[in-house]
Amino acid sequence: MNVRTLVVLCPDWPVIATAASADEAVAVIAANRVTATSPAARAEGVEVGLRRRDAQRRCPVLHIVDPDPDRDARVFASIAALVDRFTPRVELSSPGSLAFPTLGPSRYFGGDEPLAGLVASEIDNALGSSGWFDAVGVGVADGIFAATRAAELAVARPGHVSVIPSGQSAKFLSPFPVSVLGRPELADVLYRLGLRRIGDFAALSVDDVVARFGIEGRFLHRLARGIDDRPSSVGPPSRSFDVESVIDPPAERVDIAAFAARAIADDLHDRLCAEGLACTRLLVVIETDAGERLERVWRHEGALSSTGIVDRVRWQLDGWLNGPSAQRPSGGVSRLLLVPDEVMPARGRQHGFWGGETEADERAGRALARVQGMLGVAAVTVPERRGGRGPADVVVRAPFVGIDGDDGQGRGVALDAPWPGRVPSPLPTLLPTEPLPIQVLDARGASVWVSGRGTLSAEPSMVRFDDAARGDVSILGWAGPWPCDERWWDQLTHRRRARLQLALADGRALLVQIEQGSWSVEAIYD
Amino acid sequence: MVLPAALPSSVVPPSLQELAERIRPVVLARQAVVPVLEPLERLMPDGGLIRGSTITIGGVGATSLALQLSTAASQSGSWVVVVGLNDLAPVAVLEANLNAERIAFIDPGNSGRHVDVLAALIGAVDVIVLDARLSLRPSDGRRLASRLRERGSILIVVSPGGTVNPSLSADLSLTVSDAQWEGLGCGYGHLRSRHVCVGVNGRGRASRTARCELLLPAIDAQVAIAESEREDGTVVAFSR
Repeated sequence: MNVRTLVVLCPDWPVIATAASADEAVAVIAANRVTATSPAARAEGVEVGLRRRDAQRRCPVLHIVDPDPDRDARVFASIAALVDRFTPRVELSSPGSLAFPTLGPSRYFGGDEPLAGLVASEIDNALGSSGWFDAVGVGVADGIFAATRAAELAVARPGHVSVIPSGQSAKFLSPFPVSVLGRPELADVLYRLGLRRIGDFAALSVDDVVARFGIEGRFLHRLARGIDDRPSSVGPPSRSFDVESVIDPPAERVDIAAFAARAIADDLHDRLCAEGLACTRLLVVIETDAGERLERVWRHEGALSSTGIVDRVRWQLDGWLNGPSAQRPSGGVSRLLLVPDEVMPARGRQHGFWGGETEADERAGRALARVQGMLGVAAVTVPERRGGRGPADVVVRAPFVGIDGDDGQGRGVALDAPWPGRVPSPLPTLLPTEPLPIQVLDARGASVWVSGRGTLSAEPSMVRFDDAARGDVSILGWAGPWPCDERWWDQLTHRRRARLQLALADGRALLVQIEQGSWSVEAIYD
Repeated sequence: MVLPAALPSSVVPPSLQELAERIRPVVLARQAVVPVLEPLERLMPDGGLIRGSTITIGGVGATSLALQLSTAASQSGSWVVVVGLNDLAPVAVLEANLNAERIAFIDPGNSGRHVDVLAALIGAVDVIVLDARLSLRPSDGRRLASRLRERGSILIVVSPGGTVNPSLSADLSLTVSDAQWEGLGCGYGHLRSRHVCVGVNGRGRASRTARCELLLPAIDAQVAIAESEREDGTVVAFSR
């Protein structure tokens, strides 16, 4: 049965948390993609999902911020504290969004609409005091999925409230595009099947959906029909899995308390794993030696891993211990209690039998993350297949974003996709980081050039490097010219050039190119 | 166990012999070996990359050789991390059949923190490919070498066409020379394979210099033993 739920949503939260002013163009960029923007940046055309460079091109004054979930969660604790005045049953799913069941509070405050109105004005005033008016939405509907959609709509409305009457969730959801279900692959298939709205998908029979899309399809079908996203197998655990840690002497700092949390989080995770369960909702209780107590419920879409649990405990601690002085506890943290509130059968993460994710991967991932901490996120890169004609285009360096087992072999396109006119294998091993201008000369010492029809003016016989140290080297063999006219439909990225492969007398081999009448070394076969 | 020549085994008291048996390490350093591709085994005095060792590679073709040396390790699940070498083409790494899932490039830029980076990587990844153009102080070199021996990672120092960093004392040093490309005519064909000579010298069992002729890359962009060498067999390589 659906639980009538109120959802508070701040879509721009990662930006708000940076304490930027509301009229500044700010974007949060993770792994080279925009993940959140400020309204001023959106007005300039910066959208979620853009590459960093495209975002900067659209808005040159864009202020770029690195993502920091800890900061987001710490600042969001103050919002959660505001909502605490209405109900004790606040569930946080991620920084920027929280939910609570409205059954009790709405009776007390005189109905869903007055309650939502109060919550919205309270938060809007709090955010407004730092300049962020109109950044929050409050939605009430049957089930968390519909309420979240309602909250998204409410952000732009005056009053920031959108209440869907009881029993109307399915009707409310039906005009949304299927992409809001949050599964891009499924949305793509449905779209190509001609099912463009959630209502079209919901109209299918359950049996057909299960036959075609399996368990996950059934789950999404339930969402589409406005039935709460909690599968029926989810429920409170049959026996207690509570773990607690008494910290003596009491911890004054977040990191010390978080260290204690790590041990019990591992313990909790192991015990749940042993029963084949995964935690989807977790109650974290923190007590201080002065008797203060902070409880928070954390919800997770999938299953909380042990590091996920520690993260949430740390966010909660951080928000409390380093929060506004009025809410800060007077004593040190003396007790931590983790209560898995809701568990479901773990679908599990199948570790590879041959290879797959191993301990070595975990170790390497940690070391690389540490290096990223030293040098910055962009300093660690991994190869990503892109496809192209030149050696620099086929595979590029993409920022390293942790080790994910499921991304697997499918990263990018295959190396052997057809690219007519590409440079033949073996490919060169070095790409000069700075342009290396050269001259290609014929037997009489005159410059060689390539005509518009792609023919050489004379046989190349010597290469003259610009720096005196290398001087002139004679050519033993050559092939080409291989003309290459790429992206002629786009003025900005259009490139027209011709390549030559050269084997030099000193044993080196080069791939050189002529572009707009001047020769340069494109790549070196080392 | 090899006993000192001054004490023939018959003279050694049995208790001492027993003791020698007992203190012998279970795995000798040269038995902890990471595999290399079959054609490259002849370059290695112990048939593979010894854990905790430093290998320097220089000459024209050094980059290709470094990649090929780490291929077998990468395929058997080891991580390969390249520090520096910003001009290394990522496509060459995949063409050398390294596992794309277990490779990362680190650009220390001019932060001057490459020693810290190396210290963080040693022990966490199996193969570290280091750009010889990154300068190391002799004291750093010694510290890293002892850390390598302790943690069992392998450091491959590459100097594409240049000189090797003198502050790292190599256990094995490979020099690629006499590169000759095949497949390229005057105005036709394309580069297909390269015939190179690889000179090997180093410490311990590798102190005797040896030479090997290889196709690097061979026709299929991999590495192979040069035909000429297979036929006459005159070239000296390590016998095991």
